[in-house]
Amino acid sequence: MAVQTPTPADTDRMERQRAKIEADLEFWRGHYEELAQEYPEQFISVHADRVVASDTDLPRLWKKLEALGYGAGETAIEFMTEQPRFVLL
Amino acid sequence: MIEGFFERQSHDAPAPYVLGSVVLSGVSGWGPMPFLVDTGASRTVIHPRDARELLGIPEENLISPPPSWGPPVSGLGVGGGSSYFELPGTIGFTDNTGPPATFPLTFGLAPLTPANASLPSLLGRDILQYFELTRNWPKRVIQLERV
Repeated sequence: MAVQTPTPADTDRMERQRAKIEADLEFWRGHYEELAQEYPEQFISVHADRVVASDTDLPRLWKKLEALGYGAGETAIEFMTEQPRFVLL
Repeated sequence: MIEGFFERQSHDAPAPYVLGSVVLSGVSGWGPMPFLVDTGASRTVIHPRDARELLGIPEENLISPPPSWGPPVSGLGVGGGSSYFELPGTIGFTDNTGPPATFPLTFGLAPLTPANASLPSLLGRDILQYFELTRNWPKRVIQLERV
């Protein structure tokens, strides 16, 4: 199995995506608790620091986003909960 | 040295992450992806939310995987079994002391289920075996150093 190498275009695009991921993480750090109170047990989608859609079901949220004109990766999606999560992976 | 970060949401204990770059051969383009560092996972797994949002894999493929992905394989977990598709690709990390660290890898790609919709992707021991892992929450340090 060979290692694939990104092209310069891939690298440029990934730099932009990486910056978006870091901005999204910073957004969740600052707003997770208030949004979890407002949207408990739901997936929410945020664009430009604003919640644009929410649903308890991820595929339904994706459909809502498509209807609103947002493609994959254009918003930040996170699951909101105030409950302790026992994630055993 | 690869620098990671902690995330802590709600009542969860702080979770160690590193940001990698992923390409799945013939399936996706390159995309950056945060991975939960999981020394309990034998292999690196991409979960469906990241697959769609960060690699652009169509939702319909995550619900009804195409035949080209081959048969699913079973994995064992504390909560029971899961199925994954084995897809070859490459994973890379930015190293602040040298060139990027890249590895060919057979990824596990999980089809979408209600149970895994909110899960992060996992960096497993198939990659962690190449690193010394430093994890120090009080100092907010996550580091992977090649060994």
